[in-house]
Amino acid sequence: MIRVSYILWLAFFMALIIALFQVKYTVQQVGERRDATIRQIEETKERVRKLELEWEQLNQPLRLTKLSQDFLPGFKDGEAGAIAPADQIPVRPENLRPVAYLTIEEPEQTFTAEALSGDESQRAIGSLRPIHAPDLLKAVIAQQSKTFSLE
Amino acid sequence: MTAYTPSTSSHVLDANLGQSTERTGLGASAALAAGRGRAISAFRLWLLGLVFLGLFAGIGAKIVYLAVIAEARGPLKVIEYTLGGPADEHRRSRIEDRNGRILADNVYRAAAYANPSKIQDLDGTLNGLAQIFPDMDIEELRQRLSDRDRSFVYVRRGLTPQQEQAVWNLGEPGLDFLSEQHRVYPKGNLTAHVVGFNDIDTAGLAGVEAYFDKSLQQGVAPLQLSIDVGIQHVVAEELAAAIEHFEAPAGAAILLDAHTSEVLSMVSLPDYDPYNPASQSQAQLRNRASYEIYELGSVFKVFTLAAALESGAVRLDEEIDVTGPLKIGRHEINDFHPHFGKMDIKTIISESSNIGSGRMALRVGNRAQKRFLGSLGLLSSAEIEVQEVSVPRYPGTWKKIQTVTISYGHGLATSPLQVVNAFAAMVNGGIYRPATLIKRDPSAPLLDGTRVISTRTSQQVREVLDYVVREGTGGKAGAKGYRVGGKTGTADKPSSGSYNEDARIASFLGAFPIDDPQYVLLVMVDEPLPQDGTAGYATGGWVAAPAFKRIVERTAPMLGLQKALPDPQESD
Repeated sequence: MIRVSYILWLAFFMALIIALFQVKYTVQQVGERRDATIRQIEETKERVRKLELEWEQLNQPLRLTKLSQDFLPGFKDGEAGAIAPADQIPVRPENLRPVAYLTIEEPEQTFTAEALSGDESQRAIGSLRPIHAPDLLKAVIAQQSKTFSLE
Repeated sequence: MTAYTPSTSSHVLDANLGQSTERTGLGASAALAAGRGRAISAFRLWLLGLVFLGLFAGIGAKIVYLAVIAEARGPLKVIEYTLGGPADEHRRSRIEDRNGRILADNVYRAAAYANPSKIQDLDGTLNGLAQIFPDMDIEELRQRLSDRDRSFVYVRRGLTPQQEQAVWNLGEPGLDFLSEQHRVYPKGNLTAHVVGFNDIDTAGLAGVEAYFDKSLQQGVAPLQLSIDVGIQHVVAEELAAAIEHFEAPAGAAILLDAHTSEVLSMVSLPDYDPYNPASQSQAQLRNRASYEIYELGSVFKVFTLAAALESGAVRLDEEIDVTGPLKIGRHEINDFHPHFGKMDIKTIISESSNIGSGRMALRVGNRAQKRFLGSLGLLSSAEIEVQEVSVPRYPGTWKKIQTVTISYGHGLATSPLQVVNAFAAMVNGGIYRPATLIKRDPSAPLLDGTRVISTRTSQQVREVLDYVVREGTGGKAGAKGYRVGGKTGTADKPSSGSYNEDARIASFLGAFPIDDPQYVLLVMVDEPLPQDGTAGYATGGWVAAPAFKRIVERTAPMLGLQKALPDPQESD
C-alpha cells in the first residue's frame, strides 16, 4: 500500500529535481549573458583605448602648433606675467563690469509695477527676472552714458 | 529503540527480513534478535535519508544564497575577477607622461597567416595578396607557401581593418587570422629617445621600453614618466631651430627639476621614427642626452668653482692671477680672451678664464677634485631608467695637467644628462639626487639625496651664475620676465689624439629662477657653424644661450613660474 508519505517524498524530490534543473539552466543562461557582457565590455574598452590613442595622435603638439598657426592668427605662447598670485590680479574697472549686473541695480528703470501682477511685483524687486531685449538695450545705454559722464 | 517500532511491512528490506525469519522458523529469541536487527536497519536508512536530505538542503541553501542574497549585495567575486583581471593580463603596460598623456600603448591588430597544407588555390591567393599588399614579395611568399610540410606561415602582421577584410574576402580556407598586440606611439618622434621602441613581438629594445621590459610585460598599472609632453615639444622645437640656424648636425637638451631631479624633458636630435627604427640612420638612433659622452668645456667651471669654494681653497671676494700662459710641465694653458694681472672669482667664471679656473683647481688638488666630481656622479655611468647609458671617460692617471684641463671641461667626457644632474646639486642648496625619468609622488617626501656642497656654497654659486648672465658670456640667455643664471661652454672636439678647433660643442647650462632655482636646463649643439650676425663665432654664448632663453620664456609660464619683478636681466 502506498503511503501518503511516499507521495509527499516523491513530490518533494520531483520538485527538488525540477528546481535544480531550472537553477542549472538559469545559471547557464546567466553565465552566457555574463560572458557576452564581458566580451562586450572588453570590446568597448578596446574601442575606447583606440579612441584615446587617436585622440593623443590628433593632439600631437606639432600638429596643434600648425593648426593654431593656420586658424588662430592671434594665438601665441604664454608670456612672463601670464601667471600671477590672486592678490596681484587687478580689480576689473567699473566700466567693464557685465551689463547684466545693471539690471539688478536699477530694476525700476526697465520695469514698471503695472506690468507685473500683485505678488510677482513684490518678488521682482531687486531680483533677476526675464527682460525684453529693448529694455536691456535702454538700460545699457543709460548706464554707459552715466559711466562716460563720470569719466 | 522502544519509541520506534516500525511494522514488518514498512520497508521492502524489512519485509524481506520478515520473510526470511518465517522461512527459517527461528524461536522467540531469534525473532527478538531479528526484530532488533530490523530496527537497526531502519534507523540506518533514516540516518542515510537525513544525511542526503542535509546535503541537498545545504546545496539548496547555497544556491539560494548565491542567487538571491549574494547577488543582492553586489556582483559575485568571480565576475569582478573576470572583468578586472585576465583580459588585461597579457597586455603590455601603457606608458604615460607626467600629466597622463599616452606615450605608448598596446592595441590588438590582426595578423594574417597561412596553413600551406590547406591552401586550395595558391596562384589565386597570391594574386589576391599582391593586390592587397603591393609591397609584398610574392615570390618569396610563394616559396614559403609551397612547403606543404609547414602548417604555419605568417602572411602579414599588423593589418588594418580594411586589409583584414580584403584578405577575408579572398575566401581561401588556408588563410586565417590571429589577434596580436601592437605597440602604438602617439607622440611619434617627439619622445622616441625617452620611450624607445619594441620589436614586432612587443619586447622592449630601447629606452624606457627596454629598461622596464619585464615589468611592462606583466601588464600592471601604467608607467608614468616624469616627462611633460608640452615641455618636451617646446624644448625640441627650440633646439631644432638652433640646430637648423647654425647648420649643426645634432644637439641635445635636458630640462630637470632642480630639487627632485625628475627629467621633464630629454631631447636628442636628430630623432627617429619609433615605428620604423630599423630604417633609421645611426645618427638618428644615437641618444645624445644620456648615451653619447662629450667633453662639454667651460660649463665644468661651475663644478670647479663649487669645489674651490666648498673646500675653502678660494673665497668669493678673492682675486687670482690670470696672466697667461699657465705652464704645467710641457703644456701651456691659454685663455680665449687673454687677460693680464689679477681677476676676481666672479669675473673668472663670467669671462670663462681657463687659467683662473685651472689655478682654482690646482688649489683644490687632484684628489679632492676627483673625489668631488665622483660625488656628483660624473665618474660613473648615469643612473637613469633608459637602456642607453655609458661610462664616462677620464684619464687613468689624474695628475696636475689633468686637474687643470678637467677644471674647464676638457679630458673628462660625460653624458649631458650627468652634467645637468650634477649641476642641479650646485644650485638647489647642495643636495645631489640621481636623475629619474619616473614621476615622483608629489605628496611623498623628497628622497634624502647626498649633500655635496653646503647651502652657503650653493648660494655663492648661484650669485656667480646670475652674474655670468648679467655681465658675462651668458648675456644672451637673459630671459624676458625671468631671472636666469648659467654658464656657457665651448669645447673643441677630440680628434685623433688632439683637439679639432673647427669642430666644437656649444652649450649653455643654467637654472631658473636663479634666486630660487626650480629647474635646470642644458642646451648643447654639436658642431655649429658661425652665421651672419654671430660675429664669426659659434660659441655657447652665441649658439646655445639664445635657445636657452627662448626655452625659458616659453616653458616658465607652463611650469607655473611667476614673472620676476622687476626684470633685472632683460637684455633687449
